[in-house]
Amino acid sequence: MKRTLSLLVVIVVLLPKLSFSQLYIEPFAGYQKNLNSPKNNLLNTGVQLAFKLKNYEFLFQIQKSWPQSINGVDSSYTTNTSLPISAPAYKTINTSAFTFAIGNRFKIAGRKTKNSYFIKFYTGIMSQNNAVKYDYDKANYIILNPDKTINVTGIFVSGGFEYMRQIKNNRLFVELNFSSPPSGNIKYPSSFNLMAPITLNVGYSIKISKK
Amino acid sequence: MRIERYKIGYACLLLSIFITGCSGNSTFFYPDKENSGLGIFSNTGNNVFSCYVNGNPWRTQDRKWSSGVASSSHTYEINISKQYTDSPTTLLSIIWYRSYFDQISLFVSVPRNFSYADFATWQGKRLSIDGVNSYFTMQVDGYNNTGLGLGTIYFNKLNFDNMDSAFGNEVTGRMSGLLEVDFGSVKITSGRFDHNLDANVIHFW
Repeated sequence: MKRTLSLLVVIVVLLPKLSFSQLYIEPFAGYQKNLNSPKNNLLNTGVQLAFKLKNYEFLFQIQKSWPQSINGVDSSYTTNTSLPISAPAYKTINTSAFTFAIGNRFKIAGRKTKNSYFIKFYTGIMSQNNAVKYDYDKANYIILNPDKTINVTGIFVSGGFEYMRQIKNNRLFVELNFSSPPSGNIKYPSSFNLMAPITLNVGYSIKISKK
Repeated sequence: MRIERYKIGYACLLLSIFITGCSGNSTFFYPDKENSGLGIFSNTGNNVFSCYVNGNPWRTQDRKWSSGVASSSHTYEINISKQYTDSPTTLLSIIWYRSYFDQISLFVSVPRNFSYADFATWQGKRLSIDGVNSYFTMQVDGYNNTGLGLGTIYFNKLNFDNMDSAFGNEVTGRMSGLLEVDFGSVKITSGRFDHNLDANVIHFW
């Protein structure tokens, strides 16, 4: 709660200055790889507003990581002597995420050319959902160490590098971003961890106002 | 003067810790969404047994400990023992406690020299409890004179370390599995257990 309040204070303090800056709207899309689970790859889309002040830009971003299914097999067991001791329990985990973040974009190279390089830092709120479904003989078998649906919302931080090319008044960018999982623990012995995505995005920055 | 106050406060804090002591709970109960009132079936050492007794959830007490100057206490959810005897066979007993007077037990006839290593060979096996060489008993609130129970027990994990230690006082291990019992008018269903074992809960004499 304190952190959320701090974010709001930062926004309120910065907004008056941002009103005198150039404003860009930046739709983007990309591909995410979960560093905590090699099988977990997601497509993501988002949009951000960029307030440009010389070599610095302030960003508001919303991003959606679209659900992706991971299939697995757990074991189930029975005491019924007329059945085999164990049988497979087919598992599907659907992972998705939604983030709202504020960020900072600093130009580190390319001040007088059309090609520029930036470093970016974000912090915000991430909501992750890992929906678990099982397909097995529920009447006769019991799953060993079952997973369950986990939904966690918390603060996250991320950072990365960005290449940007000026195209008339607009800009094309490619970014590589590393993100932490949302804060908070899974209070359950799950077989999976919260997603910590590395993201490769391509986006287009459209100028919608100027000084 | 101010430093003296800090010293007194610090001494009071230490004294309160000394008197009240420490406590802990090494039972982890994760509800099973498929079986309301029961814990999940696990083999990670959650120290709990749960089942339905005629459809009503029943679970063991928590494994807790507390220690202080005034008192120290432990509660365990399970006790496994093999009695000493001069005869060729003896009874291996596994007792699950909700309280001292509320318990479900399994007795199995085993050779006198039955060892931890022999016990560990039951891992992965499903044993029929036939009422002749083995049987269940229960002493559960609301159910009287249930007699001997027949059924099946499956040991998913049953292993021990330090089996050669003197008097078995350093033995540690883990036991998990499933069980079903029929007492005639009373039925125990969907039973699942998962325990860390050490010299406090397992005794082979």
